[in-house]
Amino acid sequence: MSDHNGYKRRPWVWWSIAALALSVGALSLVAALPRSDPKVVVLAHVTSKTSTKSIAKLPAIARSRPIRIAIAAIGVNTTVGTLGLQPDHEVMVPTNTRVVGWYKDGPPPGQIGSAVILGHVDSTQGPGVFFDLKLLKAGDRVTLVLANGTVTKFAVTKVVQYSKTSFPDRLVYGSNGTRSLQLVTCGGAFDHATGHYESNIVVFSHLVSVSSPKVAVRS
Amino acid sequence: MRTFPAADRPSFSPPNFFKFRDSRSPVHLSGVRLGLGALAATLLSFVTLIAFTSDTAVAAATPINLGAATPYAIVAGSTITNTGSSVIAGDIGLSPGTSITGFPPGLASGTTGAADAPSLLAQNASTAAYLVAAGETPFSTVAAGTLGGTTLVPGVYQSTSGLALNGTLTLNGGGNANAVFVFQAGSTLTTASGSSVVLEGGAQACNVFWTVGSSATLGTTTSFVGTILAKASISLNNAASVQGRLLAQTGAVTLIDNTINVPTCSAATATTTTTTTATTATTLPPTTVTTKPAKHRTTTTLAKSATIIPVGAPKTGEGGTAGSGSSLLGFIGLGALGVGVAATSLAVRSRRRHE
Repeated sequence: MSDHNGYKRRPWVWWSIAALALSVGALSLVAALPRSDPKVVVLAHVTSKTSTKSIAKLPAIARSRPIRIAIAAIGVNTTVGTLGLQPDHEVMVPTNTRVVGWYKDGPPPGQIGSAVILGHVDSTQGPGVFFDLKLLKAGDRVTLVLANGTVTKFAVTKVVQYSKTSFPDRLVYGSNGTRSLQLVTCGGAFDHATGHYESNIVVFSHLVSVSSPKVAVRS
Repeated sequence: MRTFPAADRPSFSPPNFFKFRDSRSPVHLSGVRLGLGALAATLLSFVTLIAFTSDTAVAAATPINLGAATPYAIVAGSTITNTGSSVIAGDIGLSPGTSITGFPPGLASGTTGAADAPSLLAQNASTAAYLVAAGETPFSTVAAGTLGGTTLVPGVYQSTSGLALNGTLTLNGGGNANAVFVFQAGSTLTTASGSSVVLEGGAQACNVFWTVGSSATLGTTTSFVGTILAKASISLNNAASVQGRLLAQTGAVTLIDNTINVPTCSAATATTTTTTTATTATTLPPTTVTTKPAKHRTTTTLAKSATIIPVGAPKTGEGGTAGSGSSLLGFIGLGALGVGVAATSLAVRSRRRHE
C-alpha cells in the first residue's frame, strides 16, 4: 500500500487524527473563552441551624478605630490599618497583602451603621490575608480589637459574591440601622487581560458581643 | 532547446513552476503547503496569544497608596525634633523611636504618637509606599540631578545620584486632576534656599511623590510640594514649608519654624489657574491652643463624621493564586487545531493518492 513517496498509511489514519485534533482544538478554545461571573452568588447564609445571638441590649461604646482583627475559622490574625478614598472616590486598598484596612470614612466597629474592612485575596506571589474569606459560614465569629481596648465580636450572617459591575456600594457601606461589619475582598474569576478579579466577596455580619475595659455610654 | 516527444511528456497539462520531479502531483504539493501553512498559522497564533495575554507596559505614573500613613504629616524612625513655631496640619507618628520634642512651641492639629500601634502602622505603610514609588517604571532620567527653572509633565523622573532643586520647578497636570508625578532620587534630595515647587494645570499636591534613597534636606524658605518618602532622614531648614508629608523610615525628622500641610485630593475638574503652594497655615481647629499640656498620648476616641459611600468595586486582588488555565487551554486549542488542519491535508493528499 505504499505510494511513490513512501507514505505507507491509509487515509483513514490521517482522518481520525484530524477529527480527534480538531475536536480537541474546538473544545479547548470554547473552554478557554472568557466567561463573566454571575451578578450575585450567595455562598453562605443564616439557616435555622446557625447560632447568631440576638442583639438584645448591647451597651453603646465609644467611637474608636480598630487595630487588630482575628477570624478563628479561617486563621486570620493581623493588624488593621486605615483606608481612605482615592482621588476618584474609589476606596483605597491596603499596600500590604498581609494586613487589612478599615474604611475610615464610615463608622468604626460597634457603632450604628456599617464598618467596612478590606483586605487582599492574593498578591502576585500568592495568597493574601483574606484568601479564605469566601469559606466563612453563617455564625462564624469575627473579633475586632479597638484602639481604646474594647473588644467587639461580630457573627457572620451572609457571604455573597457580587460581580464588580453590580457591586452594591450602598448596601456594603451604608447604614441599615444595625451595628454591622462587612469584610470585603476580591473573588470570582480572574481576568488575565485586565489583571483584575471579576467579583468581590462580601461577608456581612452583626455585632454580638462587646467587652470593654471601661464601658462608656455614648460619648 | 530540447523538447520532449509527446509520449514522454508528463500526463498533466498545467505548467510545472517548481523544480520538482514531474511525477509529483500538484495535489501533493498543495497538501504539503497546506500543512506548512497550518503550522505557520498555529505558530503565529501562539505568538499573538502570548503578546495579548502578557502584561502591557505601564505608561503613566500610577498613584501611590499611602494606606495608614495617609493622614500623617510626619512619620519618622528615630526622633522628631522641632525648634520654633512650626505648625503641622496632620498627624505625627514616630516608630520605633520614642522621642518627639518641640511640641510646643510647635503645634500639631492631628494626633501625635510615638512607639505605638498607629505609628507602627504608619511607618509600615510609608515603607511599603516607598518601595512601590521607588520602583515605578518607566521613568525619564533627570540629567545631573538639577531641577528648577523647568516645567514638567506628569510622569516618573529618576536620578540615580541625587536630586537638587534650584529655583522654581513647575509641575503641569495638563488639565488632569489625577495626574501623578513621582521623583526618584537614588541618594539625596536637596533644595536651595528660596526655591519652590509650583503646581499648575490641575496638578494636585496629593499626587506628587519624592522617593529619596538616603536623606532629604530642604533649604531655608523653600516652598515645597509633595510627599517625601526618605529611607533615612528629612531635615527642614528655617521657615521652609511643605504642602505634603515628611515620611522618613529609619532616621529623624528635624524642623525649624516650618509649616506642613497634609494635602487632600479633590476630584474637582482641573482648572488652568496656578495653584500657589501654601506658605501660611491652613485653619486649625480652635481647640489646639498652647494652654493644653504637652502630652504625646494618642487620642483614641474618634470624632463623629458623616459616612461617605465610595464608588466602584474595591480592587483587592492581583491574581497570584488564579492560575492561567484559560490561556493554557487557548494554547492547547490552537495547537490541536493546527495539528488537525495538518492531518486533514495529509489525509486529503493520502486519499487522492489512493484513488
